[in-house]
Amino acid sequence: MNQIKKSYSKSVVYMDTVVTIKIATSLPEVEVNEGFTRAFAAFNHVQKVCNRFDPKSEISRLSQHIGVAVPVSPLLFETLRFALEVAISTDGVFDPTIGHTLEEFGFNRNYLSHTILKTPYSTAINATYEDIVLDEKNHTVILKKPLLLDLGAVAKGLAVDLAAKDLFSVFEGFAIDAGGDIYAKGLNENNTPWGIGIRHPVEQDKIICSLKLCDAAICTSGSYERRSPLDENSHHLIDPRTKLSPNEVLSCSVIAPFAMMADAFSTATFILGLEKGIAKLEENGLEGLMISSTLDISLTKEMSRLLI
Amino acid sequence: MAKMDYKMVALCAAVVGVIYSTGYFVTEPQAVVGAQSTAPTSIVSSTTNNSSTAASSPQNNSVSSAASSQVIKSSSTSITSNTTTKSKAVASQKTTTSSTPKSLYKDGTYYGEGYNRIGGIQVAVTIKQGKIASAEITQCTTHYRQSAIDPALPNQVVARQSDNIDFVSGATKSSQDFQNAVEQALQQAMS
Repeated sequence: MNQIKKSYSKSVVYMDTVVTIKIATSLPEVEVNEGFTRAFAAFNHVQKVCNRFDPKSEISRLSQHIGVAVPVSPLLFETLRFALEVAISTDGVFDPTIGHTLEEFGFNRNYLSHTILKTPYSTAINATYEDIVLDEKNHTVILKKPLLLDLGAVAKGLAVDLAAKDLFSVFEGFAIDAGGDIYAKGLNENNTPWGIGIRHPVEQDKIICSLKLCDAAICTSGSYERRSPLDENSHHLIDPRTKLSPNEVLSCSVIAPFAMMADAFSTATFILGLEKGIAKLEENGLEGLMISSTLDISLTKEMSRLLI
Repeated sequence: MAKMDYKMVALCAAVVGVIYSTGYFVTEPQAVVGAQSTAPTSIVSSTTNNSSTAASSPQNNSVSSAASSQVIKSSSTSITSNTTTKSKAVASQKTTTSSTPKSLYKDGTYYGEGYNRIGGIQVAVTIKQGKIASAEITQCTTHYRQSAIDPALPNQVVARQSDNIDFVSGATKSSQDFQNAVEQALQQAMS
């Protein structure tokens, strides 16, 4: 009954990230290739809708209409719905209206065309997630104030979840890695759980710890990934309440049933800091770990079971 | 064990389910990009049952190098664009079929990038009236001679109206990167 499983791998760049998909299966290669095609289509679609650096994307166009009800696609509507739920659940620590602040900090370059985005909004306007209103019946969105939507924290996770959903019913085992947003299903070609390494935040060619992942997602937020080109103390994780980048934590990894959830929560817990972050995870029944600026590792209660 | 926040999980399931069932376009298969990953988490060597007890120690170079090589290793199953598109899409209303339909591409200029470990190529593909008007190399950050593939490959793209180019002997990596880049650009033009 033990069929030979082989491992296939493919990588493509999306959303300024190398996306790698590995499939471990006994199915024929032609089916694997079809799987890759469908899975990567999910990334292309999410990028098209959610890439705020592309002025033609749906999210950019939505940001240009203030005070009016704008009909949006199911993808954008549902993703906003999710983002708002997380914002409410974290009291605004996670906030998809962070776009303008990110732009102020210099995160404004379209990674494909390399054109610089400069949004003509007054810096004095303080918008929050509460300025986004969703109308369920008409499937419209109203932005009450000028604001820049940024769904970077959930878009990658969403793409991983969509790709995973597509592959799930076909392949016994696979792992999708979108620059640190990972979903792993089943077993690898050696019939062991997929092994995930967490990059050392300082010595970046090393792994600080490894864990086993089976039918779950993990996402890691790290301040070392993207630093602000304008302010050396800032990086791409910004506390919407203070407009500052917290520096107590270097890296935060969260495990959840969905990559989208792991993504949003790793962002939120990073900003909350060590104590409140771990507490938030345990409150939500999620496992994770946080690495402080002194390289101490804090774990949630069951996390040690998953470490290799 | 703390109870999971099922409301949040259920919400995710609903969101993913709705988006998935409304469908999205399936496009042509893309070629491989052999790029170095800088991901904070990465899929390590699949043989987790040996020598990985040392994984927690950052000093263990053999584990980290195994991990990074696993990540860097690009696929040996490279998919070229001339394999017929198997567009049996799941839950997608409109599929692009293997025979090129009319106006497959939308007019405009689209950018794509292809990388290998030592650099990469960026192209700008311009579509006019549904056809590929040009495939210009806008950036070439590798050490190999751009002239080995330019203007030969861009001309081929226009002549053949596809990214199905002949690889230039002696410039295999650049040819591959160029093809990846054009494919990525065309994919955006289709969607």
